[in-house]
Amino acid sequence: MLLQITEPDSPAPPRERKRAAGIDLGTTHSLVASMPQGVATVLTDEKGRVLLPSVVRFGEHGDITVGHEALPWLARDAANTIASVKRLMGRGLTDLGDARQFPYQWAQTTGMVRLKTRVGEKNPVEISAEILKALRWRAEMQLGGALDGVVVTVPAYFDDAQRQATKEAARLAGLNVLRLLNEPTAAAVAYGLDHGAEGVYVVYDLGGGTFDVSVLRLSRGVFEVLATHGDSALGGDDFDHRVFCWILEATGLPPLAAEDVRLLLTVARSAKETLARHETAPVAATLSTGHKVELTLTAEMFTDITRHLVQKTLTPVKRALRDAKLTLEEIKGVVLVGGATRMPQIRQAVAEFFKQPPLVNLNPDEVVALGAAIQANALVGNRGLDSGEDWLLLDVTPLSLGLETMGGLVEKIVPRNAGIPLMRAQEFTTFKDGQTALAIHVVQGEREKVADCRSLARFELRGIPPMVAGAARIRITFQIDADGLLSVSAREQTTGVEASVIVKPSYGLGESEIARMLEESLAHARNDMQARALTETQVEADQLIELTQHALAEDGSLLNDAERAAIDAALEELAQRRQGQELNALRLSLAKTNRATAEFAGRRMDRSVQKALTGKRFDSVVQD
Amino acid sequence: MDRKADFFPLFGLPRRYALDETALNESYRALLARVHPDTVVLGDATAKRRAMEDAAYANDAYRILKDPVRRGDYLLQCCGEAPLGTNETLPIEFLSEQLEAREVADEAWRADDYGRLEALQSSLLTAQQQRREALAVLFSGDEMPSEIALAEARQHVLALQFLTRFADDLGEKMDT
Repeated sequence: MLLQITEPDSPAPPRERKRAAGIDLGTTHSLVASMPQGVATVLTDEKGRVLLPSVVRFGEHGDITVGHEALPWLARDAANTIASVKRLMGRGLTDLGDARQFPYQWAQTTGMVRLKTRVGEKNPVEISAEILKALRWRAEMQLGGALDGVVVTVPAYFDDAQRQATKEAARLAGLNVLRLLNEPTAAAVAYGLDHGAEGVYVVYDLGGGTFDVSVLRLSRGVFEVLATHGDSALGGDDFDHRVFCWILEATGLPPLAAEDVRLLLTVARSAKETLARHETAPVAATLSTGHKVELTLTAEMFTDITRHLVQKTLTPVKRALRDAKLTLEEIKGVVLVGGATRMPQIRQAVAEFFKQPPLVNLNPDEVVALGAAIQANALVGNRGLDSGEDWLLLDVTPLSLGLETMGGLVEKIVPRNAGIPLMRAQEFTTFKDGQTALAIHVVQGEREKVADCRSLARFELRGIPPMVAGAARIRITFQIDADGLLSVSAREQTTGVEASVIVKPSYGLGESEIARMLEESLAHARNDMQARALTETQVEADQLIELTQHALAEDGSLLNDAERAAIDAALEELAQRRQGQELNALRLSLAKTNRATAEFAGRRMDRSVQKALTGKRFDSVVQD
Repeated sequence: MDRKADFFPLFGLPRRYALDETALNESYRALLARVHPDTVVLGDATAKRRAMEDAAYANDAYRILKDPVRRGDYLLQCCGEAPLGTNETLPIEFLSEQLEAREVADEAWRADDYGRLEALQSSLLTAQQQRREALAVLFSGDEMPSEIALAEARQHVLALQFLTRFADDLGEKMDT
């Protein structure tokens, strides 16, 4: 066993620091960041990659692959390989518009959508949980232990169902969610703290599938969101889709197989990415039918076919400014967030609208996760450990909350852009003599008619004491917490009876579905634990290989040829098994290498002691 | 935090219609820094509930004081007046003036006359400003305004509500 000797004057790692992380669960890719040494930093996988593609594949043998390994299956196994699952969170089939544009098979259901895969029906919450689990492992490997808490980001314009679904996914992945944080707010924190920004800033966040714009006032450590607007179904994916449609038009292709749709979407995306740096992009693919597509897309053409999408982002920008009661002249800077803001036509449109070039001195893919990590670090209680002033986040609820009244109209209870947390009470009465129950329908949105708003939930109040019509006074309290999540309570005022509230979330998961998910996740927990043990052992193997190679370079002369050959052989075998998936074989190899190097470690120790006794400076010895 | 206190002293402000917005913003932020749920994420359920209720109360108070219509409504209620309702009456001259302005707006909208819409918008801003100034005079001292003054104030708050709604509708239309 090799001895690790720490430098005498390096400070002991602070025991009280807790492990916290910020997770950006994105449409196209996801990532995790933390502050292990008091500085926010993105965490990489074993290959040094930051971005984890938000792609999950359910394999033939019940195996689940996430990220880069799942990517190649997008075109080959479209029905079982799910991308952009964020677009499905908290959504019903009717929300999706043309459900056929997705290469999935849908289960017939009225609540949140469910996908038919080879391992059975899967809902977006379960699929997202797989992505979160992968990030959780990554963070726990890098931080050296279980996470105490995380902050997960959501688009500011996410409604209640989408937020609930995200929190549910995090819980299913075994994470302790300290807070759901709005993505533009997270970006503002990372940017603001890093640049010492003061004044009114706009965050323009165009992600893979969502668009948010937030107006914030940054003033001496307080990040106050003045207004937020957006479109939770507009993002970089739509630009890909425009290119896809352009390909279909240009080639006059017949209806395509799911695999070919995926292939062309991938080709479209890479053309879009090429145009961020070049004037033209090749569009080439060979379809499953043998048909060849060979086209060239110019920047001008791309700008042309996506013009209405760029324009579509400006309406929420104008609304946010008006809600914040601000003019263009009062905006100090515009921060661009999200990979899609790399498109030149976006940068140009933003510059033209705000009459100033946007701020691009940050990584638009990483800034949200970094901001979430800073917030997680503070919430988990590490704040006192790090230098830097205290700061505070004040956020708003993006959408108005209302109730259905007579004639299908909406009675607004909470206006959009109200500061959260908030509470609002409303009194109701009974309509008939002896009435003991009341049905209430909660909607979210800005329109006047219930049909044009999003149905959040239906509540049934039961247990109202029988009285004459109009005598009961039922006070219903709506509460939006700091995560932006709604809850409801009710009480009959004259008698003090608490009416029970039965919540039926319109696009949430039913009780039975949650129970099934928990059961399944317990069954999977065994597999998860094995996967986790494998990763842990792989990291251990990497460390041992590195340490031994370092020691061999320093003190190789302590070994004779036979001894050296034995260690080399053990190392080679270990390195080989490190690449495989066999946990037991790897463990064996690890133990073997440890044994093979035990004698060597002893001799190194002896040499250090001898050196120390022959009068060399102590600190230069132990540093070896 | 005393959740029964008057909103003005909660932010260390005098009970006036005219508002020092900078002072309100600053004490709001200082108050939230003390009571926000983020300060008790690791606390027990009681601490969390209290933080939630305190912060919600402060947010509500802030929203009401910041808004020119709600602030007027709140001051009226402080003087024992009924909250603004749906069956309010406004002078017929004001109403017919408003009706006319809305027709002008619709016409300009149909004709795509952006210049006329902007002119209308700025005249609405001036009208709002005048109502706010009148309210600042009516609620300017420590004494309770007379009954006549309160009735006058109510008319101004109602008119302001009318004008604000119109300006918001117009703005929203012009954004799209």
